[in-house]
Amino acid sequence: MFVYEKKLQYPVKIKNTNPKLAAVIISQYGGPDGELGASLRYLSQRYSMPYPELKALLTDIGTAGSLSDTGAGSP
Amino acid sequence: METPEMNQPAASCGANQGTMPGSCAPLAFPYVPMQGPNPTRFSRMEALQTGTLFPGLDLPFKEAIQAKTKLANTALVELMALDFAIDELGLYIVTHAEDQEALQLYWSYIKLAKEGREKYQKMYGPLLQTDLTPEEGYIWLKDPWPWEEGGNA
Repeated sequence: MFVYEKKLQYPVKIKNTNPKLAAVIISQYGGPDGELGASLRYLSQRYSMPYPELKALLTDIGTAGSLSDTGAGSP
Repeated sequence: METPEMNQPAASCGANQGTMPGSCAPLAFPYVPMQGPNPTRFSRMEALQTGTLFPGLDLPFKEAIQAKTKLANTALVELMALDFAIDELGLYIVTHAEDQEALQLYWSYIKLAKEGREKYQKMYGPLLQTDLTPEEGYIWLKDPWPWEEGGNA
């Protein structure tokens, strides 16, 4: 389902560390109402999608959400 | 100055009953731009800096993003720019499969990225665990990883 590449999609330069902000952001990604849950819903919804373009689109949205947006790298 | 009361809909709107008819919900009007065929494109490096390949979709937060980050001129950033353009074209093509020009560009970028990967790997090591590195041994484990110092630019 996914291939890991040992590189990021976009360079990261952290000037100031901020653990409090990091906790908020990580819960937006992986938390109870976060991106990861949403992306898995897209990937499930595509099984009942009849249109080929939209099967592809839901696959795109689901993979973008689950990998790139969670900071794991490009899908 | 706004007070919390100003943001409350009138009692007659029945907000607490789950109904919010037109004039009762003037908070915002969402708008999704419809992307037509043959849209103008940024260069791939500009696209990586801007966060979209398509000027026509570069709408929200425009002023904030205008101060573009200077990106280093490395094999990795060049590969990031190519891969981003490929991602963007891939998303576009899914709903514009008849756009031959975009499809040709998509395939030519994929070819360039394949060459870019080989160039990058010669300099910095394997991108995939399954890349063959018989001369150096199993160097997949070598630091830095992408989240470590010097591993992502």
